Amino acid sequence: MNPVPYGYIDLNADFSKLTTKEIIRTLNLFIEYGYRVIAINTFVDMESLASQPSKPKKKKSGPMEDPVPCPHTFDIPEDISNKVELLKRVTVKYSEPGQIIKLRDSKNFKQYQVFAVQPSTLNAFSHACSTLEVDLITLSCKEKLPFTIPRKMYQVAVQRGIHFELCYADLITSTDSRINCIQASHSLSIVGKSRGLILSSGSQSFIHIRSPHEVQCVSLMLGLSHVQAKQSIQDFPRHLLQRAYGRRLGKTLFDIQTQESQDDETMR
Amino acid sequence: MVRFKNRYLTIQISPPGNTQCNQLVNIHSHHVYQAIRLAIKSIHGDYGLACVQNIISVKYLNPKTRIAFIRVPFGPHKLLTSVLPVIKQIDKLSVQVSVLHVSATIRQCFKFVKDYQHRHLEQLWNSLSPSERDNFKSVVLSLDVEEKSAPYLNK
Repeated sequence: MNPVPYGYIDLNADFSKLTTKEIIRTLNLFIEYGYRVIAINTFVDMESLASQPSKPKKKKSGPMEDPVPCPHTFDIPEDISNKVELLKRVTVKYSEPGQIIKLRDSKNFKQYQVFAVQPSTLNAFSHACSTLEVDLITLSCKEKLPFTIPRKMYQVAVQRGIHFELCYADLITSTDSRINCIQASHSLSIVGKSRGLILSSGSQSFIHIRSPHEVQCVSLMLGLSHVQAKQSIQDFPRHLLQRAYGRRLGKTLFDIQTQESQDDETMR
Repeated sequence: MVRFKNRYLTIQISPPGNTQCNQLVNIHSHHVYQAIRLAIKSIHGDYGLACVQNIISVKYLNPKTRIAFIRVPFGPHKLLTSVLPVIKQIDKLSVQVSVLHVSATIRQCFKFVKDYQHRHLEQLWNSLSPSERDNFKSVVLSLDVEEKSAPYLNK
């Protein structure tokens, strides 16, 4: 794995509704604020896919549809892509553990570098914490949290190295999502001192992007200490990316890569 | 593992004027909860509401003695104590709310109320004739009484 470049990391940017011009503007803003790695999110709702299974059953002949769409590709000028590393991230919303098993066969799924889940029931949450091979558990603040977070499951997840995510765009957009976000983060701090909490933008346009230092100041309101605030933006995302690389390889001792550098050519 | 701490507030809800004591009979604990929610939203905004809303609950409400216990998480309880004196209305009844006591367990709250009633009885004691005294003692110290004698319960 190439080393993660020095700088801030944003793990949740949604470019699906933007035009190319707006994407370039957003990326320029990210660069200005000192972000070096940006993960572009693709959202998959397994709940709604599972609720309409009757149609594909009738057409048995056709090949199985892939539940995960292809990752978005963007044509970005080279001067920007040199400064920023774009990663692909998939977020899967699911309510029952059975729904996530389909992902194993999916070919598109393997193209994503970061795998996040958004459990919508207590059952799914405890499954994600205890058994699922996942990098990140997202707590959605669009609606109220549908379950109370069990203390034991949270501790199990932290021990396994899974991180939890809250989006600071929710604090900006509307009153309800702001209240939900503060409540969720406070409940995390009650349950387990908000260990392993990552703050990411979750922005759908460049208006909601803030500089990392501003996010650190805001996160004091969410019940984090100064140290945790810094970790939630700098250290944990870095740790997560390395862990995600390890997850994709499976059980390995070491990984050999060939590098095409100028030194090789001069040696010949 | 650190215990999750709470604070229990003992409050007194007094309607203006002594004669209207029994109006509180129609008030239930969810009315008090709603009034607190509205007040905290108007003063401390979204942050105050988010801190308190999930955990706060009205544990005990005695309409006769006009005393209620509220549970708050430790930390944001200062947000709540700053808000309570501002409450004007509970369920369309104009009231005045005063904080009597803040304690860490609900047991201490009951202890406090017992002492509070004792003090009230001592003030009444001299103005009473010996024949009335025993009657008043039972009225003031038992916290659940008939409506007729409710005005004498406390201040």
